[in-house]
Amino acid sequence: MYSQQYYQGPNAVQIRNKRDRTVNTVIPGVFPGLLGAFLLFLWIAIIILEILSVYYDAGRGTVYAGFWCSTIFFLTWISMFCYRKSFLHFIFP
Amino acid sequence: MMKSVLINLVCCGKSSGCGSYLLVLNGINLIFAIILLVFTAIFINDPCLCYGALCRIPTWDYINDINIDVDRVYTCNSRTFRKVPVLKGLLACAILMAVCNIVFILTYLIVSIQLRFKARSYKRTPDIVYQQQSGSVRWSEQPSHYPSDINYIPRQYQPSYPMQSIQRTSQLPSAPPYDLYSAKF
Repeated sequence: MYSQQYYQGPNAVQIRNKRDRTVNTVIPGVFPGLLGAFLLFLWIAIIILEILSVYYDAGRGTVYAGFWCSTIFFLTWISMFCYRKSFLHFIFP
Repeated sequence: MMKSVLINLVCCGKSSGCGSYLLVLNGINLIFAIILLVFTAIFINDPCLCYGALCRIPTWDYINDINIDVDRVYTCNSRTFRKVPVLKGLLACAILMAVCNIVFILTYLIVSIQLRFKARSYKRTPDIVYQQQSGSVRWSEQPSHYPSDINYIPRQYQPSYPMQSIQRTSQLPSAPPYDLYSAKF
């Protein structure tokens, strides 16, 4: 009828405190995602405008700043999408 | 499979340092946006300005010229001035990019400061609650493991030095009473 059972679970369990919130749990993932989308369009626009600027004159009035700055801009927008499993995981589940 | 591997490599995902990583990256991006902004503003003022070896690049009018003269410095023509509206658009893009970065940085900082002020108002409870098992033998019911009232178990006293040295010091007349930690305990 009754059988003896020994408790075999863990002795101490880590409990996530609800009050103990950080910035990463408060800011939703949509906010950096939208900013990242905006940065993406600006990045495309900067590259196109720099190509146009070089097309008009390759030597004067340019130091090709749009090209070597856009490498850093690329890194930024691609990591803005990834904050807290936001847009990119929504597009590619 | 390949997509998920790529995403996990590129993205910081759900890790706790992702926000601060984005903060640093936005700061670097802001610096480069300001560099682009400054260069573009200089060139809007003077489209004929050129730096160093870039002045030796011929304009498109002379690109088919066979007589290549390395030392020749080309001056701007009417085609150069057609890039001024393009440069204005570039300036607008750079300003918008800097504004985006500033918005993200300000939001992150404001939220973190608010959280810090909130955290001061209440006493933080420890994350780990030690559950004490009252009896290890139970009748055939589901083992209930609720956190008990005892959150803190005092550590047992463990001397980091040998006991004999204490006894030796306690024999001295001016020694404080170390009898509490003697061998009989």
